[in-house]
Amino acid sequence: MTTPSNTTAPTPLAPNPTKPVDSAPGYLSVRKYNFWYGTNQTLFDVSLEIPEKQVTAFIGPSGCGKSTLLRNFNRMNDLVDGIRHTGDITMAGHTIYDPLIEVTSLRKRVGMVFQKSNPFPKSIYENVIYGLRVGGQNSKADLDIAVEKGLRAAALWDEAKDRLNQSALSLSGGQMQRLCIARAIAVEPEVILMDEPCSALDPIATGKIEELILELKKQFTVVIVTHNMQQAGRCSDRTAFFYLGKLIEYDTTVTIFTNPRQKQTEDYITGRFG
Amino acid sequence: MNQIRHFDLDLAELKRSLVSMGNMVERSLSIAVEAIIRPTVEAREQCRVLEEQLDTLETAIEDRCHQIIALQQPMAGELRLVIAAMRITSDLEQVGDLAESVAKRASFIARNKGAEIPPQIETLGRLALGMQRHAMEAFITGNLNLARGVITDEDHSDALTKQCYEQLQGLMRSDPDRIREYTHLLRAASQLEHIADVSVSIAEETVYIYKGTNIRHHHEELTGENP
Repeated sequence: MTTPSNTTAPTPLAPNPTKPVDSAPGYLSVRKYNFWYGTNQTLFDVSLEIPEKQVTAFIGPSGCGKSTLLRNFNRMNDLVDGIRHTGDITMAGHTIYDPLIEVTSLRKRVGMVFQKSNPFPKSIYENVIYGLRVGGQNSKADLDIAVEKGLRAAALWDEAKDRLNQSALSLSGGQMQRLCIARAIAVEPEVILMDEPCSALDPIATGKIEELILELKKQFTVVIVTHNMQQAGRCSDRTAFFYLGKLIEYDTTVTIFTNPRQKQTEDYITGRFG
Repeated sequence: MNQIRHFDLDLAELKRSLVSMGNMVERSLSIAVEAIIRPTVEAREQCRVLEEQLDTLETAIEDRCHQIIALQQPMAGELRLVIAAMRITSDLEQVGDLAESVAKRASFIARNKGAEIPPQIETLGRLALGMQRHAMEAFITGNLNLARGVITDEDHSDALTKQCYEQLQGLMRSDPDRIREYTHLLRAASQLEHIADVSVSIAEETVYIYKGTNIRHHHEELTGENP
């Protein structure tokens, strides 16, 4: 992994880069969003603005709706029968529910990394370029460049460059997850969604992914769901706390973890309930 | 090979901020010591300006330490560094306050000429300045011998302060028209001695950072013998 660059050097003693949470439109905007799986409502009137090129963490107890909301950003939940919603989600000012939008193109712009890494049973090389091939890119030279670029961005190039033709399944768990990130990055998304990306990894691999997240936000908007509050503290600029489908509090991560406004938030982060 | 983490950069920045604060304090103390040896009026304003900057820096460093503890959950040496940083920043701010006060007294003496400045005041002032400088250098470099030197100098500063008191009491008796000036010099000597004490505190924090041992009230643990 390259030494993290400090290109956006904060003023001395600035907290982890944050901006005031205000009502200015975010890159991803959620407006009065309600969601149902059949008759079961799982999200209630959620509104928040997710800023561009920052890391936003969703925290909350199991079943609070954070993964549901995450999966709606790239409409993965469309694959589930019986879902419906009211309200809207926009990206860069345009609704993601526009009937003219092709969902696959949305998912190219909004990539996703899952809790359990899911490399394809192909070579490392073929995994990274899979999305590009599906998009019609076949130039070997271009694909080679994309592979190196993607693997470097995922901090996997040095470990994988001499074995690109080996099966992706020969990688360790942490390496597989970084390969999945490389695969997501290769199609040059604008947003990367991460649904508990480290929960299946050991502490060393987790640390590498967290360092990677801090680098990724220089290029991408990142939204991460995590059960690990400490991870949210280490990695994110803003944190949204959900409970029973409602957004309880949303603020800079520094504020959430040092001086939350809501008692429920304080109770959750101090472990009084979970 | 250990990779450099983003958190390592945060800790390096925290340390740099403390060094900056230490440099500012040294500047202020240097002005104050020179002013009490050769009383000037200007030193007071110079120290006041520095003191305002030190107050701001103290708050900023403290807040940053709170955030680091809340968000990064540091362990071991990193935890000791952050905890010690909170204490050191408070110590440094205190030295800044004391330096400003010494400069204020120097200003009074400069406006009311005629008081004799005992040579022990200069010796005490230079010792306090040296202890402060060495304490910060020990913090920056991890040189525990330097920290040990600061701690053992405490007795010397106590002895010098006592000599200052005796000298000034004598001057008060022989020149009662200048009791106010000599009272200010008494307070200045006390404040310089306090600065020396705070420098010892910084040296103790430095030992805590690098050795993990809290030697407050147990200086013999640094040397294995009575200092």
